[in-house]
Amino acid sequence: MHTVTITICGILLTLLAAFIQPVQAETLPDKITIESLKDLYGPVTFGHAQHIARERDCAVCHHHTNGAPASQEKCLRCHRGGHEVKSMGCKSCHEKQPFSAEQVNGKFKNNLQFHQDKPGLKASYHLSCIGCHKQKGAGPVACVDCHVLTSSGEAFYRAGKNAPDPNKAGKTGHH
Amino acid sequence: MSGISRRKFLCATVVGGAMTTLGSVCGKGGKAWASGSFEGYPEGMGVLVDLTRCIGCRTCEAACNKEQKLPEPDQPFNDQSVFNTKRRTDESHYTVVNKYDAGQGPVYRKIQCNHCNEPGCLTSCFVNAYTKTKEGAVVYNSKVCVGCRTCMVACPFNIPAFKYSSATDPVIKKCIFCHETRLKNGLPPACVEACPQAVLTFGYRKDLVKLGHERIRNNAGRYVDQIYGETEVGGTGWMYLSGVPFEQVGFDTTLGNEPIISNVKDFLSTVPMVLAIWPALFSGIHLLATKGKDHGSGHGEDDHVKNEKEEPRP
Repeated sequence: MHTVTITICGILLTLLAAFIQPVQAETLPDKITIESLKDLYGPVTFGHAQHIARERDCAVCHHHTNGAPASQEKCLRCHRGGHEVKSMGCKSCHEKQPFSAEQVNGKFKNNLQFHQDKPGLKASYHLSCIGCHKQKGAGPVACVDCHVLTSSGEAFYRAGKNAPDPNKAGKTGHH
Repeated sequence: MSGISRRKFLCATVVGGAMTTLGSVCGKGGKAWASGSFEGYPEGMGVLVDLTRCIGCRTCEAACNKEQKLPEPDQPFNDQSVFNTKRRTDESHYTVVNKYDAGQGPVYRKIQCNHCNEPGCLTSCFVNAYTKTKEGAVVYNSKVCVGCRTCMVACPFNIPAFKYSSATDPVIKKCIFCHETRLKNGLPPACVEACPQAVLTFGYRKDLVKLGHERIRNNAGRYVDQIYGETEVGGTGWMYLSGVPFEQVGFDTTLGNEPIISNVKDFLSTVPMVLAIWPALFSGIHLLATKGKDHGSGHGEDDHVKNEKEEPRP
């Protein structure tokens, strides 16, 4: 009886370990292609492996979500021992629509929740990337360093082939 | 005879004086109630602008242009050369971003209508062309506008712009918080949605005040300990956080916390009083002043009549 239980436990543990291992490997992508703004810009490829090799600390971008202690002092008040989450991807916490009625109406409704001032998904990329690149003096910081305008993007920014005729300039309003 | 008129005069003076005092007391009371305490509609929306995050990409300007179907700009929206001058909002630009050099690195500042709780434009408009909607937007109705441009003078932020290209059909152009197309449908304005850096945070104004103070507290040293617009001119729907003193990045820090209407409320409250009391007061004075004269001239008239009657006698 005893040996049967041990055997079953052993099999279960092996299965669990086998199940967890490949999942973790899958969630560590080498490259991430971001195309949420593909109507305005071409896809942007983020070198995840490259950043891992350079930073060696997930918390720089992923805060406390991998279980390691948080890096910033304000986070340490709650996350001294880290706080592991199921999915570490930005989109699992940072909303795609941060100003939807649901988000706006829910603000400050839960007094136990600290994270009221969480940027949306698009802003979390930009704040994180540009903020760090500026601080370190390395990496792309200007819009065009990452983004190539599509033809609808050119129409939106009135750039490229949609650029205003310089001869007409100065006809609208005062400056 | 002169005793009665003096009594009348004193009576009129006392009544007048009492009413004047009463009027001014009511006026003061009215002022205390009406200004400085109106904090906007409880469900009013706003935007918190964080200048420390802005990178001057001008995407907000492009989004505004598209959403409001504004005319083609002079330069592309990704052209950074516009930062060489300090621009203002005008009939074809409801929002503009300006660049300031304030010590460490450039600071970009987006300007647009701040959607005041007690808007100067609204209170100065004598045809009621402006409305503060329950969602917090200050909107404008060109159908009733007579083109007097008082709103342009009254606005403490120099935002309303006159469409000089159509002076015969007067139209004021300014940011309306995307009220018609977005805000009243529960959507954030186009610029907020387009901003890549979360410079613009959309929400209930009361939540944004809280959020702003928390952001200042949680990021020690990053911000000046003030939310511009929390109390300025009675509070504005759009508010600002800055890492450098506000006056260094073009903000008028001398506006005070009283709504623009308070500057003229004292004067305006005396208008009905003047109209009501002064005629009575001066009628009293006139009566007193002319009573004796009437008496005298009455005698004179009598004399004259007497004389007339007497004249044919000789």
